[in-house]
Amino acid sequence: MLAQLLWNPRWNETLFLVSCAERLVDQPTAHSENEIFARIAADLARGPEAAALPAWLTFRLTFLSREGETIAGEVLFQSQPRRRPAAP
Amino acid sequence: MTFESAARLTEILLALAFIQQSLEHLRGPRNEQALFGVRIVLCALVVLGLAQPWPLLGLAALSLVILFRFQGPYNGGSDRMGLLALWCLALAHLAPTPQWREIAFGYLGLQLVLSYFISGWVKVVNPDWRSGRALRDVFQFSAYPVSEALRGWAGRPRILLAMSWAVILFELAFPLTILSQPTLIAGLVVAATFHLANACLFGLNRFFWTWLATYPAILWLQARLF
Repeated sequence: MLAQLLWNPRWNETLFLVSCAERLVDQPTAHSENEIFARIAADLARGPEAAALPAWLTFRLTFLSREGETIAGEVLFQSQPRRRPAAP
Repeated sequence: MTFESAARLTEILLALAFIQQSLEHLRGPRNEQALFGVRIVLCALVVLGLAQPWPLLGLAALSLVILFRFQGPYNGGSDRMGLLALWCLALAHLAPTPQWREIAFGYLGLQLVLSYFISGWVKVVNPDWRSGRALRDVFQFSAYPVSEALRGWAGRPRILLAMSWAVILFELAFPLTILSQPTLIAGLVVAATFHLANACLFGLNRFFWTWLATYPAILWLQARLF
């Protein structure tokens, strides 16, 4: 855990994606959607099965909230499909 | 601590905090690498004390480009505090008289005190924080816990209630710590421990370094006022 004090890029990128998701729901902008697309695509491209993945990509945002004693999930955004950028 | 030494120490700590953040961005997209590569060079010049105040003013200008790149702060509150510290230091360099330089730097110390007090106030007026429910929600289903094992803390309501009130009372009481230097130092040690816990539990490493960088400002302000 202490090492993360000095080096925690993936987690900070995750928190930035949470910000983008919140912005996309509150005040939709192309910037937030582009950032989420780009970072999901880059993450997939780094995976071991990158070559076998479909060419098209879409994502949806599910927000969780407490309703009484239960946790409810609601899809608040569904992106249009986009072609994934070609691997470099 | 003199004004000059406090401002210089804040500059160095802030530059080191920015270097830590910027290194993380070097694994990102290419346009980010370029922006944060420049930022690392400017920060290194600030740490070394070369060509002052231009590298610091360069960092202030670059902060606007970075804000535009991400259409806002990349990392929420820690970036906001970093921007505030950077611009207060830049204004302290640009201010025409010693009095205005002290006002610019003192404003940073004041904002540091308010950062804790307002956080405590927002929590104490929220029934979910007073009952411990808000912290339970954080552990149960928010995006913040760094591991799934930590989510088990949601099943310990008494501990979370105690933690909630400990945080609330500390944040509300923080302004009282500036009445003397020993109480302020004790308050800053507790505050730094709080940020360290947040870094370990929620991965908020940038908050730890950014807030730590601003501590010389409040130490100087306390000595200036009391």
